[in-house]
Amino acid sequence: MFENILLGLTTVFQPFNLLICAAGLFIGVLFGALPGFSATMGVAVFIPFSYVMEPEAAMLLLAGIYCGGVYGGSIPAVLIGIPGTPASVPTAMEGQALTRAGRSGEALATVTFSSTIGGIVSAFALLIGAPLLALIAMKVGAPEQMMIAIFGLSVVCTLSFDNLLKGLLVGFISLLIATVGQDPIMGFPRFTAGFYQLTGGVDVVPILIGLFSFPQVLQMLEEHLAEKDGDKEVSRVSKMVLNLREMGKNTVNFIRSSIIGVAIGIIPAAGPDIASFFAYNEARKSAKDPKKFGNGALEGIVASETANNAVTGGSLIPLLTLGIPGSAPAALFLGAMIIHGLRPGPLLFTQNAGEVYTLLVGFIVINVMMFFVGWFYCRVSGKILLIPKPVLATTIVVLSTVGAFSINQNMWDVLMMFIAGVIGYIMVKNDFPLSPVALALLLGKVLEQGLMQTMTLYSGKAMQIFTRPLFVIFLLLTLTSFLYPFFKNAMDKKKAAAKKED
Amino acid sequence: MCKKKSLNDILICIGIFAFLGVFVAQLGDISAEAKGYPMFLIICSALLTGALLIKSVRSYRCEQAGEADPMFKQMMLLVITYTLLFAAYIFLLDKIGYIISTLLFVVISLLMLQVRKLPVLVLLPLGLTFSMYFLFTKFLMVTLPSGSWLSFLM
Repeated sequence: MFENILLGLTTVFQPFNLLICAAGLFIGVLFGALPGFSATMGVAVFIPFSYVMEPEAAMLLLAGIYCGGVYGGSIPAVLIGIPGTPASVPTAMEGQALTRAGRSGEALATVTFSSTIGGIVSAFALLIGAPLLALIAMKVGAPEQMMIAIFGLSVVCTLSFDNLLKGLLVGFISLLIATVGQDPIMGFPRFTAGFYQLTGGVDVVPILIGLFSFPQVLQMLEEHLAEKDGDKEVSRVSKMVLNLREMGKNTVNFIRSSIIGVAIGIIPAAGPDIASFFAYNEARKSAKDPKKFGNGALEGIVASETANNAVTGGSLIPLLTLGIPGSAPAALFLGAMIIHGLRPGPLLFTQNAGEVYTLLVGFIVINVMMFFVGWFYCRVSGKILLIPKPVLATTIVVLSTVGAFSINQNMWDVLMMFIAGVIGYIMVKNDFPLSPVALALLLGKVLEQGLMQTMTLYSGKAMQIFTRPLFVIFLLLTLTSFLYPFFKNAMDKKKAAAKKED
Repeated sequence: MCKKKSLNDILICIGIFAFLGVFVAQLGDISAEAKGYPMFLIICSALLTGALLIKSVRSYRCEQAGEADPMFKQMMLLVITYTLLFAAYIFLLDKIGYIISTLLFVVISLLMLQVRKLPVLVLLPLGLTFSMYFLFTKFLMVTLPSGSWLSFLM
C-alpha cells in the first residue's frame, strides 16, 4: 500500500497534474457558486474534455471540479444569502447574518477553512478506510434509508423550534409536494393536474433557486428604498480573517461533522445537502448558546461546511471498492473511469493501482489546494458587497432565470422558480421558515421509497426489522433528535424557575 | 403578534386549505397502493393548518392594531411592480428570446430602481446579456430560448 501511495504522490506532484488539480478547482468553485449549477453539472460538462487526457490527469480534473463545486456554493450563500447549491442552505442562514453584521470576511474564512478540513478528512477516509467503510455501505438497505430520511426530517423540529407549528406545516406540505409525479413503487402518476411536465415529479433545484434568490432580491430592493430615505446601512465588507481561537474551540464540532459527512457520503442516495443539515443540527444541539444559531453562529458554518465537503471522499468509497455509484457525481465518475479503461470494484486497487492511488492521493492534495483557491475566490468575490443593490438585484434575477432554465432547458423550470420565489417571499414576510422546504423536498422521495420497500419486505414480520443493527441505531438517533428540543426546553424552563426562586 | 400578521396567517391558512383541496380532488384518480402515503401527509397538513388557523383567529381577536409602517405602502408597490416585471421577463423570454428580453429587462429594472448613470445603463445590459449568452451557449452547450414569436427569422 505504501509503495502505491508513493507512486500516487509522484504522479500527483508532476507540474502538469498539479495544474490540472488547480484548474479543476477553479472551474468547480465557479460551477458551485452559480445558482442552478452544481458539482454534478460541472463534472458532466467536463467529462468530454477528459477524453484526451491520461487517465490520472482526467480523474484529477474531475475530482477538482467535484470538490470545488461542493465548496463553491457557500460563497454566494455568505455574501448575498443565496446558496449556490442546496448543501449551502445552513451556511446561508448563518453567513448572511454575519455579513449583515459586517463580518463577511470572517464568515468566508471559516467557510474555506472548514471545507478544507472536511475535504481532507474525507480524502484520508477514502485512502485508508475505503475497504472497511464499504462494508458498512453494503449493510444499508431500504429500512436504513427510510430511517435516515426520518432522522433528517427531525432537523425541522430543531431548526424551527421557536415556531414549531409553522415549521412542521411547511415540512408536511413540502413532503406532499415531493409526492407529485410517479409513485416510487408502481409508477402511477399522481397529482399532475394534467400537466405532463409534472409526471417526472417536481425538480428540487429550480424551486430552491427561486425560494432562496427572489426573496433576497426583494429584500435588497426594500433595503435600497430604506437607504434612499436616509437609513444607510454600514459597510458590510470586511477583511478575510481566520479566527483561529474560535476554530480551536470547534475541534469537537470539526470531528463530529467530518464523521457525519463521511458516513452520509458512503450511504447511497444521501448527499452533501443532507450531511450539512445533519451536522448543523447536531452543532446546534450541542452548542452552549443555541440562540446564536440563525443570528450568525460560526459553529453553524463550521458544521455545515465540514460535513458537506466530507461527503466528497465518502461518496467515492462504494464506487471505487464495490463499483456502486451512490450519488450523481459518483455515477459520472463511474462513466469517466470506464471510458479510461478503469473498472471500479474490488480488483481496481490491484489491477489499476497507479491510477487509483493517484486519485486517492490527489484528493488530499486537491483539498489542501482548495484552501488557497477558495481564499483567492473569496477575496475577489467579497467585492460583490460593493456592487450597488439595483445592479446586484438585476444580475441575480438574470442569473437565477438562466440557471433555472439550463437545468433541463425548459421554461417550466423557470416558471416553477418564479412561483417558488413569490411563495418564498410571502413565507419570509410571515415568519414561515424556508429551510424545511429544502429538507423535505430533498428527503421526500427517499422517505417514501424506503417506507414502501420496507413495508413490502417486512409485511407480517415487522419485529424482524429490529434485527438490523444500523436500523436500530438510526431509530434511536431519530427519537433523540425529535425529543431533544422538547427536553431541552423543559430543562431550560426548570432552570429559569429555579433561578427566579433564588 | 400584531393584528396584521394574524390576518395574514389567516389568509395563508385559507390558501393552504385551497391548495390541499386541489390534492384531495385528485385522490380519486390514484390507485389505492399509491395514495396511502400522500393521504397521510394531506391529513397531517390539514390538521396543522387548522391548528394555525385557530391560533391566528384567537390572536386576531385579542390583539390591538399595530402602528402602520410609513414606508410599507411604498415598499409593497415596489415589490409588486418588480414581481410583475420579473413575470413579464419570463413571459417574453419564451416569446422574443433570451437576448432581446434580457436586454429589455435589465434596462427597465435599472431604470425602475432609479439608476441614472449612462455607462451603467448601457454597459450592464450589454455585458450581462452577452457574457451569459456566450458562457451558456458556447461553453456549456445550453441552448437559450430563441423566442417563438421570432421563429420566422430562423
